[in-house]
Amino acid sequence: MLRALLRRLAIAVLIALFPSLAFAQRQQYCERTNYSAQEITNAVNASPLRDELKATSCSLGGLGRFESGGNKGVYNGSCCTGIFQLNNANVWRYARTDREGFGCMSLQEQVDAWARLTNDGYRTGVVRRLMEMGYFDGRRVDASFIAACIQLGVGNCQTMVNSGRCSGFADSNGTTICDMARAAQANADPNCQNNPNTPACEQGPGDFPPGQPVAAVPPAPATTDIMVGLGEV
Amino acid sequence: MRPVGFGLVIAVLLGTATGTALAQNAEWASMDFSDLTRPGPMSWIAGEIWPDVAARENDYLQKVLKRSLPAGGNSLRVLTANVNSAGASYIVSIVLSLDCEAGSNHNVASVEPSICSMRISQNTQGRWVTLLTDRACFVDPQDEAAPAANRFDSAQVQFDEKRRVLNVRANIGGIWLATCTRSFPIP
Repeated sequence: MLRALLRRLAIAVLIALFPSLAFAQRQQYCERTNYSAQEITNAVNASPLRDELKATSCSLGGLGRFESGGNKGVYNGSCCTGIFQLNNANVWRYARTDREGFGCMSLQEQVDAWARLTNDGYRTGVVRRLMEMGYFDGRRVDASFIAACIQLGVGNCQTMVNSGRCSGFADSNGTTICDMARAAQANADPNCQNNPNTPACEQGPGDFPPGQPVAAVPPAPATTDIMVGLGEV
Repeated sequence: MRPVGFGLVIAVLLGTATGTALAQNAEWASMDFSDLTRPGPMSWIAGEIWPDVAARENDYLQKVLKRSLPAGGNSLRVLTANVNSAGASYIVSIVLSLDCEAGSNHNVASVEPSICSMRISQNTQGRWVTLLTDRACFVDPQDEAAPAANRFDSAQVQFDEKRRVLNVRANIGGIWLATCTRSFPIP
């Protein structure tokens, strides 16, 4: 007991003399990278992320840039590592490694882990509730909103939903889920190429060539061996 | 000294913004962290108390991540504490698994606990029988790279023998978290 107290007193004295010690330093694991939003988007498209979220993968590339500046090896000094700044618990749960191991993984491996985390978050009650609402505090619930909800933790997201306002939850820096969703979109590549495997019906009007009225392209008559005579109808 | 630094000094000494002392009450016991990927004294707990969770977590490692099982045989991390009362032995364990609800993933986030599965088990004639399953806070072990205020992060347990209630609490950054303070009646 006395030894524990002396140890704490020593740390308290060190913090008093060197306040910066109170805040752990950011660390770099393996090489420093500078992946672009498009490169992150490409990795998202190649990941096991759900198709519904991949359909707007450009904003998710922006989310990665917002979180890490494209540097997959950065640790923030307190909890979070990598391109999407996964916390230590999630680094373990989804990548089965520690933060240094995670920082040294490839971009694709990191994005795959984040994708599995996001897929699990997608199935939670709070995300289902947000999707049913369609709009929250005047903001459309789109993929970047859902991703931001999961990113800041579904428990924290539930706190926001319970309050009815974006301001219902903010992290220690004052960032809300709504702020993060906006930042993700703002950081997306302006010339972004969305998921190339997005089903056609989500890209255009369907079977008909875009830009032409349906009546201008009638189906061609087909041959038949069924002949109906007058009076047989 | 800047106000922030001064506040942290007080927090480290006293342990909380609410005034509760961080200095350990003799009745409270800190939970021990075990990494079951390596062989160790707690390796048995995966098969005896968490076989279902261990199987799911091992499946994830092998089938999703396509990796081999580790030397310890299980892809699991667990917090444990032993409680002895009136001749009965109990073990409280909280497991970090895919079933948990973890905190923020963000470049300016600080340490947050995960809400995970907890089991209270009793040793009955050499076998561990789980009496209760619920949820509690899993507190990540901290190392030298952690902020100084988080070096004493811990989950703790206390057994109220008179009321037969097991109390759990968690300290993160010198603050006892209300969301992690829970009581569980023991059958």
